[in-house]
Formats: sequence, C-alpha cells, structure tokens
Amino acid sequence: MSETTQVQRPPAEVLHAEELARLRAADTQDPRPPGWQLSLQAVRRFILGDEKLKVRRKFVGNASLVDRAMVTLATGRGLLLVGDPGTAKSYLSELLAAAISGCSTWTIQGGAAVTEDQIKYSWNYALLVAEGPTARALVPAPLYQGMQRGQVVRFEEITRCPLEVQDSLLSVLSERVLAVPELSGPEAMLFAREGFNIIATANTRDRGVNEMSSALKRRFNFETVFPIADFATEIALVREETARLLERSGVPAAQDEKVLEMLVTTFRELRSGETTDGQALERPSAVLSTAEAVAVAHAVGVRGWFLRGGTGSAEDLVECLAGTAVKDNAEDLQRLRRYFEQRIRRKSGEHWQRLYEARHLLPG
Amino acid sequence: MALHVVGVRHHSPACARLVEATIRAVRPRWVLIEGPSDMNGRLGELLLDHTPPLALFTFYQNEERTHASWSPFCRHSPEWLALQAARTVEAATYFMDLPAWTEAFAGVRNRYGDHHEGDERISRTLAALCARFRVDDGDALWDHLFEQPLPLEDLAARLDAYFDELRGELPGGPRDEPREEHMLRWIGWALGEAEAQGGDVVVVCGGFHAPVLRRHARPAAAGPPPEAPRPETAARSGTYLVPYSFRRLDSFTGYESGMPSPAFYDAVWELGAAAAPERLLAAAAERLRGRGLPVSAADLIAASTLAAALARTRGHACLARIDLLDGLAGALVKDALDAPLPWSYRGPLRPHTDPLLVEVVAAFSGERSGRLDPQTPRPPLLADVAAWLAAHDLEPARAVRSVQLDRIAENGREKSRGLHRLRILGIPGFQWLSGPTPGQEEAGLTEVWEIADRFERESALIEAAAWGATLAAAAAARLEEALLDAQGRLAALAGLLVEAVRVGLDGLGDRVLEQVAREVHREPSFVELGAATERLTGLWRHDPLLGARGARQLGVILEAAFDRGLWLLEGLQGAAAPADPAELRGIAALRDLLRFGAGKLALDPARATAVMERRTADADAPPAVRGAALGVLWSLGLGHPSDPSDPSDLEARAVRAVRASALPRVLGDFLAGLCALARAEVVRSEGLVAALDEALSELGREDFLLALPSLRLAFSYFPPVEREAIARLVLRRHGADDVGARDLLRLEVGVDEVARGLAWEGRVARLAARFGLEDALR
Repeated sequence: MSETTQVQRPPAEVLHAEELARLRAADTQDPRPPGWQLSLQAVRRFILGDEKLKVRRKFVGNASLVDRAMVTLATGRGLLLVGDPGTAKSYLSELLAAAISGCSTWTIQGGAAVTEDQIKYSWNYALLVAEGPTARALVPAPLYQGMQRGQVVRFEEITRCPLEVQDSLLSVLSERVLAVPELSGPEAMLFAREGFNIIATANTRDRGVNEMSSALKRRFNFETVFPIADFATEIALVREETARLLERSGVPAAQDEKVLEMLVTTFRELRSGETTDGQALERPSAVLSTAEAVAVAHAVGVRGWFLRGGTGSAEDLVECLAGTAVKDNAEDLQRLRRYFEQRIRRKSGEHWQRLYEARHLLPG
Repeated sequence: MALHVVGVRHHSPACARLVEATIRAVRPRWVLIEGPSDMNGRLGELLLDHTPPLALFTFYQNEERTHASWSPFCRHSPEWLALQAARTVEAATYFMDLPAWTEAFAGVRNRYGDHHEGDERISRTLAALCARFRVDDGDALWDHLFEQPLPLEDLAARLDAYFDELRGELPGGPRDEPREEHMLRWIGWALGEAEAQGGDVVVVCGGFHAPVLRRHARPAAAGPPPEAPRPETAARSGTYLVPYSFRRLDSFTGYESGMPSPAFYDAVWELGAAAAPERLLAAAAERLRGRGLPVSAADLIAASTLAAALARTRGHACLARIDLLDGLAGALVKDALDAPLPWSYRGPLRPHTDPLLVEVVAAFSGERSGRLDPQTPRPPLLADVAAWLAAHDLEPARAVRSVQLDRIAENGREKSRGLHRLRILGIPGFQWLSGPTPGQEEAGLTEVWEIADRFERESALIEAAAWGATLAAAAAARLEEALLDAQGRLAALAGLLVEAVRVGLDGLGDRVLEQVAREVHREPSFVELGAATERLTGLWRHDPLLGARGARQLGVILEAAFDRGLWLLEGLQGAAAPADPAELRGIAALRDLLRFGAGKLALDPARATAVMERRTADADAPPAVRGAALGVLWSLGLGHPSDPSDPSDLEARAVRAVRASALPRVLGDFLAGLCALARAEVVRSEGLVAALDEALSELGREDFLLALPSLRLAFSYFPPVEREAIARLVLRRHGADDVGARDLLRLEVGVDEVARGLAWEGRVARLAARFGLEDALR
C-alpha cells in the first residue's frame, strides 16, 4: 500500500482493493457472466454498498440505473452513459470496470485530436524498421489491451472524437473482432476474449449524442444519468467530499452549515431552473453539477480559513459563485443578478438576507 | 377466541391474497375492516353485483369547510376481498375506521393512499430500508419484498416485520391517534363479544396501524357496538357508491397516491405474478403502436430479455413491475433522455418526458372503468338536479325550449349558475347559446339557453355523481380537476377561472387554487401572463357574480401573477427590440393590478418599485420597456427611494429620460412605453411636451422617418381630446395661436402619404443640392 499513498489519485481497483477482495471471497453463490471477476450481485454490492461485508456505498444515484448498466454489460452490449457534466458518469464507469474486470485503467480520453491508433494500436518504429510488422513491434492501445485480456475498456467523452474515429468502433462492438491487416496468420485478427466490453461516456452540454452515427447509437444501450434528485442526499455528499478536500488543504475549520445549505440550494435551483417553492427561472449555461458545488464549497472554506481564520461566509459564497456560475458569460451574469434581486431576496432567514446583501460582490 | 390482525398496503394484490386466505382459514365470526364506519348500516350496497373499480364517495359541507373524498376499491384491494370473503364464511362484517368527513381526514382525498410516508421519521426509515436493499424507492422495495411469489406464512411474517420496523414505537400523528382509538374501540367490542360467544376476530387494516392495534387490543365489557360519529345537523354530508376508473386511481399525486400502475397489479391478481408481465408487455406494445410510435418485434424481445436479466440480478423469481419498466426503457430508449424515467419519482410526469415512456406508463395505468349494479341506490346528485330543475322551472320537456336569463336579477343569476354547472359536467340537453363573458364591464347581462330532454341524461348524471353529491359540489370538483389538468397553460387556466366565476367560485378548494398559483409561477411568457393578468384583474374588480370569498380566492392567483410578472418583466432583453404593444399591455396589467390591488392583496410595492427602477436604468432593456417602467413609476407616484413624496422629481426624471433617448431608433419606442403607461401625466406635463418638441425638431428628415412608425404607436395611446391638448401646448410654445390646434389633428391625407411626401421632398432636396440649386427651392 505504500506505493499507492504516493499516487495522487489511485484507480478504484487499488483504492478499494480490500473491499473487492472481501466481495470476491464472499461471492460463491451467484453465477458470474463469462469473463467477469464478480457476479452481478457482487458488483451491485460493491457500487451500492453492503453493511454486512462493510462495503461503502460509492454511487449515490439511482440503484436501478446501476442494475440496468450491469445487465447491459452482461448481455454483451456496449454501455453509453450520457448526462450533464459532473453527474458522476466517469466515476460510475470506473467503478463498473474495476468491479467487473478488476482493472479500470484501459481508458481512452476522447477529444478532437484522438486518432484511431491511440484507440487500437500503433507501432514501435525502431522495431518496425528493424523487423517489419511483427507482434513484437505492435504497441497495443487500450482497446487492443481490453480485447486481448477480456476486460472492460472505458471511452470517456466519446462524442468529442471525430465521427470517423467514433465509427471505427462499429466492427469491434458488433463482430467483437479487431483486424490488424499489417500482420499475417492468426495474429491478423484479434478476437475479443470473454469479459471485454466498452463503457462510453458522453456529456450533453458539448457536442451531445445527436451527431453520433445511428449505426453506432444502435450498438450502445443508452443510460441517462441525472443530477441527484434528493436535497438531503446531495447536501450530505457535498459536505462529505468538501470535508475531505478541506482536510487535504490543511483547513481545520468546520464548514458553516448555513453556507452549505445556501450553496446547495442555489446550485439546485439554478441547475433545475426552478426554485424550491416551484417558481421557474432561466438556467445559466454554466455547468452547476454536484462536483462543481464541492469545488465551490472547498473554495469558500479555503477563503474563510486563510483570509480570516474562520469558516466561509455568505460573502465568500457570492464571490465563488460568480466564478462558477457565471464565468465570463454576460447573459449568465444577468440571470444570476436577477435571481439574487428577485428570488434570494424573498427567502426567509437571516443567512439568506446576508447572501442577498452581498450581491454587490457579483462582477460587473 | 383469537385476534388476527392483517396489516396490509391498500391495493396490493399480495395483501389481498393473504386477507382472503386468512379469512377462509380462520373462519372468524367477526371481520373488521379499515373503512368508514358510518357505512356499516349499508354494507349490503357494496356486496351487490358490481364491477370494480368503484369508490365510496363522501362529501361534507358546513360553514367552515367542504370536503370530498374517495375510498376506492379495485378487485385486488385487500378491503374488497375482505368484504367478499367475510360474506362467504358468514362472518359479521363492519367498517371500523372514522368516517371520511371527520377532522382526521380533513384535506385527504384518497382514504387508501400512502399517507404515512409523508411523516419525516417514516420516510427516513424507508430510505434506510431502500439503501439496505439497494432499491430506488418505497414502491420498488414493496415489490421486491412482497409482490413476488411467496408462501402465505412467509408473506405474513415479512409484512409484520416490515410494518413493525416502519412504525416501531412511534406514536401516530395527530390524524392517526383518533382513528386508531376508534378502531381499537371496535376491536375491543368484537373481542368482548368473542369472549362471551366464542369465535375469532379478523382485523384488516393499513399496515402502519397494525402494530399499534395488535399491542393495544383488549376485550371490552359487553355492550352495543361503537357508534360512528354523526355530523352536526347543520352540515350536509353523505356517502355513496360511484363508478371509478384506473386512470383516476392512478392520478392521485404525492402521498395521496397508493400503489401505482393499477393495470399491472390487476393482471398480477388475475393471472399471477408469473404471467402478468407478458400481458402488460403486450398492452404496452399495443398502446405504443396504436399511437403510431415505432416498436419492433426485436424491441419487444430485447425488452423482455433485459427485464428477465434485471429480475435475476435483483433476485426476483418473476418480473417485478420495475423490472419490466426498466427493460422496456432499456430497449425502447435510443437516445439521451431529457427527463428522468417516470417511475423513478412520485408525482405527475415531468415536462419533456420521452413520449414512448409516457405511453408505457399509461399502458401500465390502464383504461378500465367500473360499473355499478343497477340496484345500487341512486346517487343523491340525480335527486338534487331534479329538485333544482323543478324549483327553477327548467325541467326539460320533449319539445326543445329556449330560456332567456337576466344575470343581474337574483333569480336569473341562480338559474344561470345552475345551467353552467350542468354544462360543465357535460350533462346532455342543456345548451348555452349566447351570453356575456365575465369581467367585461361593457358586456350585456342576458344569457340564452336551449333545454331539451335527452335520454342519455340519467347515465351522464350517474357518472357525474363521482364528482359530488350536489350540482354545485360536482361542478366545482370537475373544474378543480380541469384546473389541475391545465398544467401551466395560463390561457387555459384563465379560461377555467372564468368558468369558475360563471358557476360560483365558492366550492373551489384552496388546494386547487394553490396549484394554479404554482402553475402561474412557471409561466415562461410575459405576454401570456400579461393577457391573463389583465383578464383576471378585470374579473376581480368588476364582476358582479364574484362573491367575497371568490374575490379572495382569485386574489391568491393574482398575487402569484404579479410576482411572476415582475420576474418575467426583468427578463425582457434587447436594446434594439422594437416596441411590442402586447408587452406594454402586460406592463399596464401589472401596474393596474398594483394600483387597484394594493392594500387588498399581498403585493409588494417596494419590490415593484425596485424592479421598475432597475428596468428604467437598464441600458440593455428594450427602449419601450424602459419607457414603460418609468411610466409605471410616474403614474403611480412611486419615486426614487430617496425622495418618494416629490412628484415633480418624477416629472423631471421623465424629461431627462426623453432628452437622453432622443436618438431616432430609440425615441419612438421609448415614448410608446412611456405614453402607454403614463398617458395622463404626459398630457399634463408642459416640461415633457417641450422636451419632446425639442427632441423632434432636432431630428433630421431621415431620422424622423426612421422614428415615425413607433412615434405613431406612442401617440395612438392618446384619445383625440388629449392629442389636441398636446397640440395646443406645442402651438403655444412656438408662439402661434392655439385655436387651430384641432385642425392640426385633422389631416386631409393619410399619414403614410405624408411620410411618402416627406421622403420625396428629401430626394428632391438632395438632387437639387447635387446641382447647386438649394437656393431655388427655398
């Protein structure tokens, strides 16, 4: 474990190695899909928690979403998780890969510059020149690795890749085979071993899934991940995660509950475009995910401690909120101002009034 | 002597099975059921040859409150099965709960909902249980634990353990205590009888009450059975049977709702848990195809494969409701969703729900309607309507007759209300030919109706009886439902409120009006909101049919509209946007509401002032909106916070603002806004007319033509007399005789021609200048 403590962010299978070992030991009753390290029931326990085996709940979203995702993977279809940024899509895909394959690191990070050889394989040019195209000269990329070993491959932000790169997955998803035309004999075809599958994620804010080819869409099962529906769950998650971050930043002060409540409430209201008492408002275009809320809560705590030696205040919240919810968008700023002037003003409670009075700290 | 308490969830087929088996096995001499004890003398009515779903409808009206509620039964209701089984074993059967009209049920519409889930402690326990079983919510948990095939002993043990955990040692809430006390009195009496005569007692009650009833049941001394509370003599109340439908059963929302998807559980009851999913899959496919939505055979195979795999993963021997729904979603949804899956939350469907899922949910809800045995006593509505028609000499005859009513006369108003009520309930034979629209001062007050005898009238009335026992109550309930259905379409809502005024608002529940107010809060369009506000303000101020209570109720909506209006007003953007007369009307509607409603309604003038100030100062606002906002301040004398009392300050501001707006593309729009809202103030202000005159004189010819259309709009807000007054002021400024002012207003030619002429003149002048001939034109 000494190695992992050096790592900034160990992968899920390392971080939760003990839980996985316990689950594997107890997982004797239920059948495992071919190539899986755990049964579906054990994967479910790993992600949704189990008191008896002392497994912590890791994903606070819908349990049925996890069920559907697992079943999709077990029936050999690709899984595409779509949703707003910060809804824990990547986290869920990491947990699934760690539990199913014991390895969540065969990951392709989608982007405009991604090419096919970063997904499938490329060559060691020195060897290629010396020996010609041989298996030794081939440098496998994540997809190749996952197919060869029978493990889950994660494709993050798939929709940010050029369409032709996306479509290069078609034959892999339907035929489960990867052709390596440079090689000959049995090495020219890589047949995926049992256990291989793809979990892709896509975010609805930048290009979305509309441009994806329908051929590729057909090969994936779509699961839309929504922000946390329940206020209490979200505030508990923000509190917990922020405490962890503040501790790492060396902030000993506890978080102010009222500030936390205001933060989570404003985030939820702006994100859903509706106040708690049911009044519609325009949503800002900026991303207001739970993850962003944690980042803001962390920033508020850090400001409070290092600037004044106390907890974060309503004023800190306004300044940090402006940085997150507005960025440099003038329209968003207008929306936020209007929200402050007409909605926050009418909320009862002294802390809300303090937040309202701090509105002059909004930029512009 | 033994007591068997069966704690159930209402409308659960598993519980129905257990209740039926228990009664058949125990063969008790007494069966006590959670139901309104004032029905005990009339239980025979429930045992006639009905086709469920049906409901006991209860109404109650005294001076303080009105109440209408339903106790619905379907064929898989445990209470329904208890009644039938008790008859087979010839047990004495009683309802043991308080009547639906008592305080314990105030505001409750569905007796058999999941009310205890509203309790915070219970919902916490439930959330912990859901987390432990790794399911989403209480419904999924219920299916997981109880609706799977299970030996009856295990089911009974599980139910007891579940409800014990849920209730624990918790005392009941203020509503539960009197009910449980009443039920315990009944159980005590039955146990006392059983002790004396021998025999067993079976109690069928909501699981939440079971632990308490079991713990505190003691035989009472011999005596007559407990009596149901009686309504005070001044109150009108009653309970009777009405046909019901799956759709209505599934349309209760929040904690009023019980088990969802009645069609699914009906199939579980009829075919068993193993065969039911197939029928529902077929029903969903049929419904989707019937609506022209694409569902291939491959989709259905995929759905059932997915559902089966989900069921196995979740440890279900048969497909649970949620397995099948999840399977259908997995197979049918081929894109990102805009709203969560409908079964992942409670309450009405969210906007932007995938149409495929909407239909799937509807198929699981089902279309079945119940039918009453012909011998069922007629609902009181029929007698009420007949009596009302006779009393007002409006009985339909074979020959069609026409009736003219004067709504100002007491008698005419009463008749008009009644006929509108019949029309709203959809009773054939009463046709409204013509009549005024409420809220319009100038409209006439005569209505014309055509009344005819139609044979469908009676069956329509029996169906309508599900809405209420009297004509007034039924029409109000029907309107309430329509208001709830209108879901935020403000035009529809305003129309329905007008209907409500026609029939008398008195019966409309506060709950519904709150709901309407909530919908108002979601209205996205300022223009729509303005139009509705204008209409409703007129209604609120002028309509002679609106009573004091109606005015108060309408006031709640207007308050919401005012609040929403200010919010939307602040959102109107676009420094280059031309004046929109509809928007200006909306601003005027808000202003009028503030003017006439201040003091009577909870409107916040300070907030309105702040919004108008901000709009006036906002460089990004459309010029017309800036002008209108200033007009609102000026016309209402709402000054700058620093000096609210000095009206000349506002005039000075208006003058400054006109000077500041003297740009050709802005001036007309700004003036249109200002004149639309502060017409009278503009006419009286010499300073403003002077500033305006200056601004206009300084505009070049081209610029004037540019500003002309919006200037015309601005001046169209003045009637001729006021235009003349302005003309006089202008003439005097230029040292001319103001006698000819009227002539200035009368043009021999149309304005368009003048504009064209001016344009021509401009071209001629330019041409002349090119050839150095300006002097010749002078």
